[in-house]
Amino acid sequence: MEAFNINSKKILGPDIRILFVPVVLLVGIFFLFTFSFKFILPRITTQTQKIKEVRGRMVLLEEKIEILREIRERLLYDTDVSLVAVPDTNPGLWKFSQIKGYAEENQVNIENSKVGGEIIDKRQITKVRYTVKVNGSLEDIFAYLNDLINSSPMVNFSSAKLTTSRGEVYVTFDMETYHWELPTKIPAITEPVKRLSNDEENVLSYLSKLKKPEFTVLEPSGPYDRKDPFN
Amino acid sequence: MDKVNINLLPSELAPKTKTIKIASTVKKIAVIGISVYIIFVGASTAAVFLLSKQFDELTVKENGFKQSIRALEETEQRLILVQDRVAKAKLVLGEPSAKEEITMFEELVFFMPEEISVTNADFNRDFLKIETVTQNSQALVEFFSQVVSDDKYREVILLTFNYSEREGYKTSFRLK
Repeated sequence: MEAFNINSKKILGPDIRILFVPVVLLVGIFFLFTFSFKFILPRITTQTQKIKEVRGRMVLLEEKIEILREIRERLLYDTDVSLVAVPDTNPGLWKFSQIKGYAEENQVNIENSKVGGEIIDKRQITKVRYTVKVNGSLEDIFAYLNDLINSSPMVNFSSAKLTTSRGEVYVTFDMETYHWELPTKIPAITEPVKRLSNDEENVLSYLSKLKKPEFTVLEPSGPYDRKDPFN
Repeated sequence: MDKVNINLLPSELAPKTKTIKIASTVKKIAVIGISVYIIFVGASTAAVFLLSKQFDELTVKENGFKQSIRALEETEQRLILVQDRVAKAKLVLGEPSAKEEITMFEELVFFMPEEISVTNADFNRDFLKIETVTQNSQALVEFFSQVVSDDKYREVILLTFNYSEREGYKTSFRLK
């Protein structure tokens, strides 16, 4: 051992020996810094990034809560209005009750009426076509047509033909009702919601002015218990 | 008695003064480095700890928000439903329709002289075709002059014009 010390002292000069410890210390510190930077900095960066993401999501969620709370009350009404105007099932029954009801109200006679089957067009719109022939005075017939035009579920008049015979006015018209399936997917909880745009508000306002059918749900009828089976 | 440093080593075994100075400077740098390193490690550990705590707090808050949204899920469903139905209603409103032609006819009949009778009318998605009959040519002239001067109609086309003693003046015209 002593021989080794003597040898090292001989090999390493006094200058190198005095510089050796501080230099090794400096190099060690350099490596420690490098290692620590590599280990700690990514953790700080990841954590900061995560906080930023959570904050972003929180802003979205807060906004979403605010919008939903704000529109909660009025949506109850809007849902009914829009769902009756554009239903998810064939509105034939409602429409037929309106065709008959408005005819009575406007003193118009229904000569004949026909309802076609469901047609799905290229855009996946499900339509049901109605052909109705009515007669009455011109004024009454147009009041009747206007009632149908402004009725909910929405209708589209594709054509109409007016003829006169012996002072009577006859109008045969074709109209369509529409129905679509309801949306089945609700976006992820972190997805933002959009307020109704002005355009959408205008459409809703138009839909709310349409005359709704008298019934939207058919109540089950009978059989009921007869209290007195002999009468 | 004053302390006197006596170096008994041979001069070739002692380090040079310059080297001693450099070694001292390097030593000082190393000491500063260690201090900076200790501060750095301390600060970094504190930062990681604080950031983790902040992240946990925010996550708790976020979960609270998510719960509030779950409570409002029905409202969200309604909103999506309304937006979907409104989009569909817009499609229906955009469909070609004879609605305008029906309104057009109503307005036309409103200022039609009593002497003129409508015999037939076709309401299509693109145009309105009307057939009239009258015994009074003056009423017909007045009516057509009113129709032609009205800005509402983009196109007025007289399709047929017949006269017979029995029926009078029969006209058919198309409006857009």
